Amino acid sequence: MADSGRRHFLGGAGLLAGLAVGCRPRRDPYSLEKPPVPVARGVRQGSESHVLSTCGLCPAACGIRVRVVDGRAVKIEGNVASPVNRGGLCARGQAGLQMLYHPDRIAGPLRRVGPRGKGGAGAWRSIAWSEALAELSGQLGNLRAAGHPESLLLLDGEATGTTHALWARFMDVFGSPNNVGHGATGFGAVAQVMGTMTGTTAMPGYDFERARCVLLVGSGPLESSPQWIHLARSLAGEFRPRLLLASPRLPQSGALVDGWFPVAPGRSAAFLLGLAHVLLREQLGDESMLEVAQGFAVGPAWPLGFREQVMANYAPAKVQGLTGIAATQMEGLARELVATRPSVVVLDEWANDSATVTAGVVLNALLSSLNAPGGMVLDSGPGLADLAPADFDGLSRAGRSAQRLDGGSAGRTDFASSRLLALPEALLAGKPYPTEVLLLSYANPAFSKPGANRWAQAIAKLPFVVSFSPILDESVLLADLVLPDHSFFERWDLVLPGRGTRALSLRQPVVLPLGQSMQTGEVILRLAAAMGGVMAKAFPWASYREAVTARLINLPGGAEAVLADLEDKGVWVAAHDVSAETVDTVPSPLLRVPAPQAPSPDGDSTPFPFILLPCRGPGYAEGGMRSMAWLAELPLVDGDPWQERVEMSPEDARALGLADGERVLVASAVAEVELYVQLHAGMRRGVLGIALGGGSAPAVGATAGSYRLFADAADVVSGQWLAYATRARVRKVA
Amino acid sequence: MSRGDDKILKQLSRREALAWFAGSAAGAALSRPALAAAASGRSDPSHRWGMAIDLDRCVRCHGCVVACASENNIAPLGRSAAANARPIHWMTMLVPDFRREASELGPAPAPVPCMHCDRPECVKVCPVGATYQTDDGIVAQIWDRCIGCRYCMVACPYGRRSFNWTQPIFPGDNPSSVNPDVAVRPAGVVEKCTLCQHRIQATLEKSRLDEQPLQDEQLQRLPACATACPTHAITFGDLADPTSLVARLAQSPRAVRLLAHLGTGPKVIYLRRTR
Repeated sequence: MADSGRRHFLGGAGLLAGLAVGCRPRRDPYSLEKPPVPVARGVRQGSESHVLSTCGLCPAACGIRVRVVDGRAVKIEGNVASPVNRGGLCARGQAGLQMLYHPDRIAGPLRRVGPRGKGGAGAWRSIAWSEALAELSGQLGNLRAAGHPESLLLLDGEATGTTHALWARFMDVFGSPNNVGHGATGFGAVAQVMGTMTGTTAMPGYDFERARCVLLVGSGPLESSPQWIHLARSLAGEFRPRLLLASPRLPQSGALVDGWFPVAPGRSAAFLLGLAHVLLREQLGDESMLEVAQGFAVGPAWPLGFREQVMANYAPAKVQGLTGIAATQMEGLARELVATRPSVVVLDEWANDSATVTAGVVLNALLSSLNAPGGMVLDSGPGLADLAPADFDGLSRAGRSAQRLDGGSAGRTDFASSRLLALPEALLAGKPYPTEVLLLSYANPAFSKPGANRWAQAIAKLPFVVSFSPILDESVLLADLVLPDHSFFERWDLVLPGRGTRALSLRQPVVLPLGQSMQTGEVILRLAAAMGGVMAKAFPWASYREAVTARLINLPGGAEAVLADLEDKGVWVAAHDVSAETVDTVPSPLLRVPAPQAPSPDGDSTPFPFILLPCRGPGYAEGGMRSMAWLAELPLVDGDPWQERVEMSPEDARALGLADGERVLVASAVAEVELYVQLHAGMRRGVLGIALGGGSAPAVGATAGSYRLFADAADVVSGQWLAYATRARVRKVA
Repeated sequence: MSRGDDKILKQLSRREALAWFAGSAAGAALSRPALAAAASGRSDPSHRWGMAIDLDRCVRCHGCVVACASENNIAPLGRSAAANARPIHWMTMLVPDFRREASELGPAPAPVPCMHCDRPECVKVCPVGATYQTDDGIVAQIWDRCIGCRYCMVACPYGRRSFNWTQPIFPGDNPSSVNPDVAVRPAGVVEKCTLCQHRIQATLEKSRLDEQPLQDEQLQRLPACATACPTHAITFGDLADPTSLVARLAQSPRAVRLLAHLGTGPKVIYLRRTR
């Protein structure tokens, strides 16, 4: 009877026993199908609801639906109505609860009483919001009173949204040109170059659902880029596009890739220009859009035409030595892209130099995939009204005309024109003028920027540092005043998913604020009011919500209808058909680009034979992965998941006598870090993959994760980080 | 049971096998408690829950892994404990192994929950009946009954059982994100995927209370992993219902079963183009 199953045996025996005692056929009590529910201490059932909101863990802005039991958020699921994710949700989005309930959440405003660089008991004094706002408005008032409003510096990690707009307004009216976008390490160059070429700094979207062939350029496709969820949905659709990848690394999702071109790091521009060369040479491409563009062909004002440069210098046979991809393969790929139209070239995260972005846009234009079905969509979103123009005083104008600390174009304080990487140097040197107050909104440069240690030194030198972080981080440890923001589960906002979707997504409080935090948008309004004068006049809204809803007036149906729709479905989507868009929506000039010059990794290859490649795993969240243990403990590797690793090709490892899991010292010109070897067959030889976002818990100096290995070399044109420009060597830990 | 009986059993369908047991052990009387069980929300032998995982759709985003952890109150290990233990994943992702070409799942990562075998090895070895198979085919586990001997972990050919070496600790000792529908397992017991039995039960109860027949659409994305999957790579349903999506997928020419040669009869079916 052994094979017949214990349960059947027990069931039979129980039944016989039951019949024997009282003819009541009862199973034994342990055969209850539903286990009893003794849960953790203090947890009980209670009233249950589902709240629609918007995820805040990456710029994709997926719609979420949060299950709330007894006032606690217990599960996050996707909102089926959201055009971004259609009900699915990635690992990050699911793990958001661990951010919400993290023990390092900052409960309320803090004033430093101990030395900088320390947290914990004795480092801080809890203060009331009134005191905190009085202190900051006093400090800022002093700057204006001294006639130097330009000595205020803001690092703003958000690239869209009303808080971002309020910060820009705040800096403008205050009179400081030093509003620096913090996004330089992700898609900074894409935004910058798109702005230069097309006049809109909105991130391009991609119409994956109608594309038949997708060429991804970069190193982290399908893993963490904000639009991977769109691509994923199209891959699951009935008409799956052909998926090609040009990157030195084949990520875990490589199983879905139909063709892999392991282009040498930093050579994707040369690779794309080689493809463009084939299209131009064989007259396969559509040049109608480019012929009218400035700089494409040689003209009186353009002695070096883009086309002529590509024809002269980027024949596949010429660049194959650079890219490591055979000329015949490149020619085949170029013809395939034409044959399987609509096809689209996708610029992913580390396609982060202006030459690659330029080449990608030109290639899409040649493939008739610019603002066309199945192509690259340049769209400025659902048309939120700008904030009403503010009045300035003489001090605002004088301050704003000062030179920017980062050397970016003066007078412009938008996301794209900043040169974040130049800042640590400027702050340390105190040039062109000293910085008195630093505001950190959604920014933790002491952890999540290349050369993180230099950032820590630079911040430590400033007289007054304010962080708005909702959670303890490396930069908070250097701050004098902490004005904690709500987590995204606790605040109200309207979010722009962008990237080709003309949608608004509602973010609303899912739970009551856990502590005494305050939404940063609200803080800006109160700060301005406390400062009085021209500042108070520029911020007339009674609440952040009022400032946001004031921007809805131009939407079809008006603000009321849009808000009602948002309450109901969590998202509002404008009627939008890509095919209806004409190329005329791309402001001319389309192309304004110097002769294509593909950048190359610098440094000497003799002492440093490897090139470092930043990698983002499926759980990457800038600076936040460490806070979400579910993400840190994803089954990505054997062994201790909290250890930081370096991915290398099995051939390279064999040549160095290294085995999987071995400890090594990876050294670049700027730092040396101990990491564990992880063999990865999908890695080009000569490249080391450095997983970002891990590392130890926040502590100044001791940490900064693998970011500190990277040099902060910047692209000449855009001023953005060249992610693959760091060379390194590896040696076994004795 | 002799080898011959075993062969016969394999040829019989599951339901026929049940009827055969009913006939041989307690006669027709067994059908009554079975009915009573169905009426009281107990598992209904007319269902046979299974899952299809389409590896050609899966983008390896690991969303299912965290969805499962969140729904089923799987506490993370934390930084300090991780050196001495492994994190628990009911739904895991096989680590890529490019030497694994020969495997049914190919070299790339693949999501792997409990296979909910028709002939589960783990159930056979449990000395205390803590793990058992429900009438609707789920390989279930009673946490309170487990004595932590871990025989089942040795027996499971898929390695889909985990032992709690420590008390579950939620970050900051804050249990706020705990789902009240699922028990938190104490130290010293083995735990495993339940196919989100609590969700199945709630759906069945709702359909009975609403007096609406159960629709396959209600089931397809029911378990937490399937709900989260952005590409609908995971499909859940009733394998006993030939019209259900999962049953049709199980008949796909792309369908493969993990370690099928062991004869465990996994009810999790993978779909993968052979290339």
